[in-house]
Amino acid sequence: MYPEIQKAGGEVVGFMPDTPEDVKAMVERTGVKFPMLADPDAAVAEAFGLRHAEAVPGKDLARPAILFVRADGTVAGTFQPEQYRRTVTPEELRAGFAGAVTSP
Amino acid sequence: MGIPVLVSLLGALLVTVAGLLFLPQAPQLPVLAEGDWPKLILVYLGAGWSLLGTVQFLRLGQGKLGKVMLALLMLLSLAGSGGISWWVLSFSYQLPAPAQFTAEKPIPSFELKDQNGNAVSDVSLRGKPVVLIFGRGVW
Repeated sequence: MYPEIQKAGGEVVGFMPDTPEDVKAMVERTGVKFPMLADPDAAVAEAFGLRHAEAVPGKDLARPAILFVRADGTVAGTFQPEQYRRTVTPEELRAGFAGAVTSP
Repeated sequence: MGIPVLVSLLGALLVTVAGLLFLPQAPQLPVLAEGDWPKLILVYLGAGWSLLGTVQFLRLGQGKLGKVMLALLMLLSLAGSGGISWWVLSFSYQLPAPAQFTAEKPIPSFELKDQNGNAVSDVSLRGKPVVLIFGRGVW
């Protein structure tokens, strides 16, 4: 999906509530191509209202979410599952991204 | 009542008690917290006990009615423990309420480093549509 979004002039950015070392290891393990940002204490997740406090005792994680952001920095749509085992489908991703491209 | 009856009733009781142990946690999510595994073991122990009881009653029970009644009771407690563990495990994956985003408001400002040490911020992403993916993290 990433090449498709890039071709359409878009960008994908990931956020992980982990240390830069953990993020680097994860990127190498999974082969993620887009920028994956380290948000060690979930501070940015907090700023977005996505912090999942004490998700694991003693550690704050992020509530999994996908935000579709327009070129002007406003949010066009979101994908926020009820359960974290539910993952996004390519159709949902495509539709969400299309919303961020076309809307004013 | 013979000893097998008492033993099996104990199994059913175990399932009930184990279920009650989880009850105070019902309003909070996730239901299963760290260090809760002894409670789950209790549930499974009760389930195993009930299964054994069912087999024993079908083999040794006196009278057809007694056999059927006690086997049903055991199956009921088996279903109970199955239900409890299903409930506990599935609701452990629940998440807090979704965050609200209004269409007009821009995303909050941030600046973080990516896997290659490059800084990425809300400003550097302006000018093109972006998909932001928040992961739960490796933990």
